[in-house]
Amino acid sequence: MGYVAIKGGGRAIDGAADALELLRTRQGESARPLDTDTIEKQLYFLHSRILSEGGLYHPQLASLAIKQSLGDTLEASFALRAYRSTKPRLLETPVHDTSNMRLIRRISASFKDIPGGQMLGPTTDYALRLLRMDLLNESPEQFQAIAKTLLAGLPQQSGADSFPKVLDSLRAEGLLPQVNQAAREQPFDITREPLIFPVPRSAALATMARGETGSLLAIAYSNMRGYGDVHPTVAELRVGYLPVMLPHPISGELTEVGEVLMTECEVVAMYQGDDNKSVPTFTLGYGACFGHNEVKAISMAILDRALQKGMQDGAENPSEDPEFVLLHVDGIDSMGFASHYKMPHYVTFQSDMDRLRTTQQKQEAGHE
Amino acid sequence: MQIKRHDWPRALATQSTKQLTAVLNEMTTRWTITPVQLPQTGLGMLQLRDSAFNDPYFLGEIPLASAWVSIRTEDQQEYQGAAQLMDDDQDKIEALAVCDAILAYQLPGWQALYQLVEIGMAALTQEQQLRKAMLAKTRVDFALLNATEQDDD
Repeated sequence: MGYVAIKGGGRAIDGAADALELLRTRQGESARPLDTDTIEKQLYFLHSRILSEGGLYHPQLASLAIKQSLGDTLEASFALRAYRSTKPRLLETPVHDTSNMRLIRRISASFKDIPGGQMLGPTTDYALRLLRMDLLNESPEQFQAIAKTLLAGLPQQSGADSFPKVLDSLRAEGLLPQVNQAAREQPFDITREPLIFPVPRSAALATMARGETGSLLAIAYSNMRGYGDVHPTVAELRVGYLPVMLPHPISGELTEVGEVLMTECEVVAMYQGDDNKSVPTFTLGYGACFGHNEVKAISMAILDRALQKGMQDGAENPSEDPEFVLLHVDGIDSMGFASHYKMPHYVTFQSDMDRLRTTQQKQEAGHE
Repeated sequence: MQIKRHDWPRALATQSTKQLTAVLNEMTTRWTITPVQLPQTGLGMLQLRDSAFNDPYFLGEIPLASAWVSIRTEDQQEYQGAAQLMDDDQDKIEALAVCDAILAYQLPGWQALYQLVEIGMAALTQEQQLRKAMLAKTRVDFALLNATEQDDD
């Protein structure tokens, strides 16, 4: 049986693109195209998700990707990832310390009185989850008045926006494992090298940082529910803008070239000792990603801890198995595999049918 | 100059490319500007240190533009300027590199550019103040919780 060439779909494919464009634009006389600023501001969390899952901090193009994909998160991330693959790599930045983040939100579930205090910032945590029917008929005038009113009500006096980390105080008390201050190996670059296991922790962090939120949450949730034993406490959850610093090409002085909105989470988990040879300490998990994505950062931190356990003691649960977790959390990979089943499989299915018919015929012959 | 060189690019980047080039066109008509390195736009890989174990890792990529230029003035003196920015506008980064040289060596007309730096820094500071105010407004006051002798754990 030869390969069956597929022909004749060109016009239908063009028509499908037109049909999608019609779907996007058919709204009558009230139709207004979405502009990228509107997407960035009014679809803030969706936008953050695409920044993070696309793995490229480009706010304007993330908005464009959302617009052209009609809000499909996987397609939008795919478009951003495809764009990045067309651009040359100019450099790797120096190592950045996130204690320099300009925070817009900072909370801890470990202590009430963390150094610097807790600031809720913009959050849906305390929303009642009741639909706000008034937004159905929000006029542009009402909409614009809200920001003016809120800005007028902000305090004139304000304090710092960078704070020490909660982990630093726990570490100072000897409750956390000490970190190795020695020079570390070059981090694993998942955009240049395939994941061949075992992989270093830097590969796991980078993979999860651009992983698909739902996938990370699902596997972390399996651990939380009982297929694992991380039992985390959020030491600190931070959202803010990290200044990106590069050496000036001439003077060499570190110069701010921009900033990235990011979310970072550190969890403290069950303590462990080293076979009674060392003082027992809490264990730690770490999560971070572009944009404001709290569930993703928490899930990543839980999985980081679960993977450390799996690498040290052997995986007892799916969430502790680096190969299982890291090869299944990328949205572009998994969406691509799922979507490819929509593509013609005429030859393989023909083969399946042939085999089934032959088996049926043999079975019938056996009964005779 | 109160605003230091390391803040010039982000301050000037608040201005549009059109505004920057309009100012530069007036100042540089009799100068020869040549690239020391060809201007580039592409990506940079952002490297962070995780705060649990201090392991370096890559968070993801950022857009990046860079330019390095040489300016020869009418008296045949040569000055160099360079800039890098999280952007992919090649015209803008070339303009910023020229601005860098003009401001660093206080070439004729630098005051007009420095005014743009000040305007840009004021806008950045205002944004920063807004964020800080939002933080201050949402600071949790646990004194009330302590007063009622309740505990959250």
